[in-house]
Amino acid sequence: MSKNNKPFRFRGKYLLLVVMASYLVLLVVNQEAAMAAMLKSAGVAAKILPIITAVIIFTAVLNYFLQPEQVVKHLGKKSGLKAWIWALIAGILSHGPMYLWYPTLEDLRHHGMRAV
Amino acid sequence: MKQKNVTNGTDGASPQRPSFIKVLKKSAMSFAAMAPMLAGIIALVGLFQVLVTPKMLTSLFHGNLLLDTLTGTIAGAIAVGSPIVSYLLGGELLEQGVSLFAVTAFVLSWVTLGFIQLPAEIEVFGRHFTAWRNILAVLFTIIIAALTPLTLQLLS
Repeated sequence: MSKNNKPFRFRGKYLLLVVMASYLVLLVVNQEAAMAAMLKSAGVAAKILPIITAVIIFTAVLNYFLQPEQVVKHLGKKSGLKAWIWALIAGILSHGPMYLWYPTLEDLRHHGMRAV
Repeated sequence: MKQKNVTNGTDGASPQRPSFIKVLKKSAMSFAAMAPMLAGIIALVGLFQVLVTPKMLTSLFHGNLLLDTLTGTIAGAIAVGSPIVSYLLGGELLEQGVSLFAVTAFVLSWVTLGFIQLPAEIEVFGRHFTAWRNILAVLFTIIIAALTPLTLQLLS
């Protein structure tokens, strides 16, 4: 069973606040640029949303079928070259921006995947 | 002697695993926790795409091979967008006479580095891991940027 029972907390609140403050400053200095940036961000969000959904389902499938012992066996400290090959294949096949995969990688690390 | 039948209290059944819906909910919650971080990064992407224009990036290159390779690395790390955009921009830079060393560095650092995603990387993987991964990515970007055109020259 997973021992990953962390209490729920929002992450990156301060980053969001800083970015919102930057937008406010830009809105005062150059309203046109601020509006264009907001439109660009909305476009990025719309593009990323289906990828996030796919990554959530993929993470759930991984967590459902891959028990922590199997993660340790294939991607853990003693898995040698095999872990590198799995990581390389997954990296080549993965789609979307790098930061979308951070929660999945964090989950795998909690289940025993090694960092290097 | 009779053999002991150890069933671990489950009568031989496989260990109970949580339902898929429960696992899916947990997975969705870990992404929900990251929502402010993702929203911050997406908002930053929009900001950078407006403030750092392709024209601005092109003007950074001056024809010095070493300096342009370093500029390519830094510009690629600052710029944001999907890798396809970096190929298009890289093609434009090549057409404008920027060296293949600099363009290779630009495309590589676009994919492997990212200033705006640093806060998320630190939050999830820690400062130590993030620092070393990025330092090594810069080093190898420069090495590969030097080796790619040289290899092409050797092969032609």
